[in-house]
Amino acid sequence: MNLLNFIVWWGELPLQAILLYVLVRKQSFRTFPWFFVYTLFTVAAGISRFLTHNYHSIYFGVYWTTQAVSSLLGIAVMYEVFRNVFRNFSRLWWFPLIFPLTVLLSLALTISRSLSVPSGLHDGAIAWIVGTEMGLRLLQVAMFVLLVTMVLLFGLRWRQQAFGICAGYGLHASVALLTTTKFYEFGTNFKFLWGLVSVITYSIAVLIWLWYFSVQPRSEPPRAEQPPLSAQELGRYKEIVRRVRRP
Amino acid sequence: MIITILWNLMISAGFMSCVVIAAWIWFHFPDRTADDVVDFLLPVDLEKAEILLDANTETHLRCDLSRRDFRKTQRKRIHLYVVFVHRMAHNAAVLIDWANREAEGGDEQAAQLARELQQIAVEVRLYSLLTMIKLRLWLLIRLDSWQVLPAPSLYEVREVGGILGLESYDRLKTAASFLFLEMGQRNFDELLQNL
Repeated sequence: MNLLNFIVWWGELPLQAILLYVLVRKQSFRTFPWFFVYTLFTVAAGISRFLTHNYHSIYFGVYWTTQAVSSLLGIAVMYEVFRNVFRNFSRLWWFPLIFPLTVLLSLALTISRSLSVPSGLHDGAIAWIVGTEMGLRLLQVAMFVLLVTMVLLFGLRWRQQAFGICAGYGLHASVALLTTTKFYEFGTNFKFLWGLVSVITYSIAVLIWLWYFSVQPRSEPPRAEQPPLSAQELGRYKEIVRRVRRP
Repeated sequence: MIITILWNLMISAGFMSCVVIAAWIWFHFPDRTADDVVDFLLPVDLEKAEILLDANTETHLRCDLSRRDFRKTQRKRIHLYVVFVHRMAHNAAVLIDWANREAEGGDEQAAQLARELQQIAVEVRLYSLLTMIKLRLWLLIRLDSWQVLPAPSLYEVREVGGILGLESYDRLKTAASFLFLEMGQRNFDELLQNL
């Protein structure tokens, strides 16, 4: 493995470690506990993969186990972002149904597709694992599309950290869904490209998260340079507001 | 076949969303402060809107006019309410944008008012979008011209998706006013006029 290959394949590990450091330093685990757990897990998973990458059979087990757990944690992260961004919808009775419905529809689509499209993978266990991962990726993409639609309709500050998590995850999930689908269809012929593209987009996603979590929160700009409202003015305005309200 | 199309559509939607997000970041209005609210609002005449949604007014029109004239008038009334709802949706979007910013600020009192405004503005926007879809569908299929069916009643859109539109908009005005006062803005009258 030459140096460039080594950087491409393992470069995400130090990036993840830096992200973990930033999350701890900024105490972001209070706002996004699942994202923190996800990052902590991916760092631990990356280290175990690195330590076992010369032992093929152990690496195989470690890789797929950590891949499955991180995909599941990824869904928890998307749900966390979803709740964080759309807490204003809590008054609407039908809103909490959106997430479970998305999960069910994604599951149904994945199962239907697995039954209708034959896998190019010869090993049954691998085909099953890749099929499951494909389903999880589909769910992540569906969540991302849903979030983007809601953001367009109801607004969100793009500098918000939730937006950053969503953007990074969406990019990675979309690319991962495409490559995993092709891997599932074409089998090992697509393995190298599948791995390489996934690693590169994941590193870009980590860079996006790093940027969002490392920039300083915006300091409050000074208020208008006018003297504060007098008690008389305030009383008059409040009276107008009261008149706006209906009985 | 359908499954493959749906699957590919999902993949395309994922990539499209990435592009849309990038475009949204690029074209989005930068930090909206209290100074960038009043001039961007479109006035909504709530009294006129109230008359449009009033069941009694509609019943009177139905009785006073011929069937043909009532359907024609009703179509014009639907068009007018679409204009009002469009303005409501626009104003809610502007206020969400502003409230999103203030909710992150350091002043706890202002942040609390901003969160309240956010919540009401989202309700108004949701009501407006759902109502617009419903009304445009009525206009598209020309529901008012189908003689076999009763002419559509605007009273039906008083509440959509469990949200009372005009009442929510009224609360939106109050919430926006309080936040505006909290931010020490002096063009308060203009805000009420434009909202």
